[in-house]
Order: sequence, then C-alpha cells, then structure tokens
Amino acid sequence: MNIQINGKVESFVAETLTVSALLVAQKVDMPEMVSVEVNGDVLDRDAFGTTVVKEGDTVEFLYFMGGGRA
Amino acid sequence: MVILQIPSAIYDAMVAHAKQNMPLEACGYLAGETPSSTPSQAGENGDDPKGMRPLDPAVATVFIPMTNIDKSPEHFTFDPKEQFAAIKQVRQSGESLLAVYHSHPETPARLSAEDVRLFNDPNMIYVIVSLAAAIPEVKAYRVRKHEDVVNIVRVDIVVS
Repeated sequence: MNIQINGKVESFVAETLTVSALLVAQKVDMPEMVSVEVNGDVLDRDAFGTTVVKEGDTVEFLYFMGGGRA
Repeated sequence: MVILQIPSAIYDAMVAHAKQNMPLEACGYLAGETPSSTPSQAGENGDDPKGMRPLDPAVATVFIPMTNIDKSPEHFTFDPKEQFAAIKQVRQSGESLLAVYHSHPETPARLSAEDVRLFNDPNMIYVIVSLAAAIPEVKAYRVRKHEDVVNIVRVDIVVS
C-alpha cells in the first residue's frame, strides 16, 4: 500500500498497518511522546494499537510538546 | 557553537506574546531555514543513531504563536491540532520548524527538569523567555537524549 506520511508518499508491503506498527516501521524511538493524525483526525494515544491505516491514507505524526516548572 | 538568528521584529513579537499571556506560560514555534534544513517531525532521524542533524546556523523567519492548553503559570502543552496545522503551514512554505518557545513568567530562562523530561525532539532548539525580571531574558538550548544520557547545549541567539 501507499500512504502519505508527513507529506511524503511511502510504500509498504503490508496492505494495512496499525498506527503502532507504523510508528515502529518509521523508527520512532518514543511513540508514547508522539501525536498522530490520520486523515485529518487527531488520535487518542489509546487508539494507536487499534487504528488501522490503509492505501491512500494520510498520516502525520510529531512529538508531543510540553514542559513545566517542576 | 550553534546560533539561532532571530530578526528583531520576530524577537519582539515573541516577547510580546509572552507578556500578553502573563501570568500564564506562553508557547509557540519559530520557523525558518537552515542550510541543511529538514522537517522536524518524529521518525525522520531513523538513519542517524544519535538523532541529530548538523549544527548549521538557523535563521528564524516566522513566529507561530500557539495555545497553551494547560492554561497554567507553571507548565505548558501545545494543542496537537495547532501543531499539525503549523507543520503543514511551514511545509507548504518550504521552511522548517526550528525552535519551540515557551515563557517562564516567574523563573529564570533555564530548562527545568520537567522541560528536559518532556523535550524529546532532538531537531528542535528550545527557546525560553523569562519575564522574572524587568527586562525579559531569552535563552536557547538543544536537548539531546541517548539512552540515559541527556546532553544540554546552549544555543547563541543573535537578534538581527
């Protein structure tokens, strides 16, 4: 399948992948610190393991950004 | 030495944004160009085991104020929807996100332990605007983590 990831079209042998598997394939070191958008919808982190991406989907992911005084 | 060049108009807009949000922490992005510019998004450092890119001078050309969804004087979190909108805006213009800025309303422009814990993008420069004194203090850093080792490098800010 071909999916667009962070603005670039990428090809995968698999016909579908969970978002969790996709993050592994993209070598994301800390998936727990990443926000993911699939076809314009921001996912809850709990949904990474169950949300499936398929041919033609558009996926964006970036690092959660925050900080604090502690 | 890593250098972040910020035009005075952008510098002033960033400090003004921090002041407008007092007593809450304010936050935003600085976007622009580097000679070896690459989009700063998760997973794009897979070919580099240290998660680094060359330390080229970075020139900010755009200030993107963001919403602190924590609405707190002690911590901040970007709105993920705004983050995705920002990265798309910057990508369309052919630039890159260079720096994350946030303000410290009452404390110096130093990284807190929580800042370091939560800063996980090795491509970003982290800019802190302190409003603790009468004259705002602005400092910048890079934070790099490799296994349990955290390396914090000061970034020189040049206001042009």
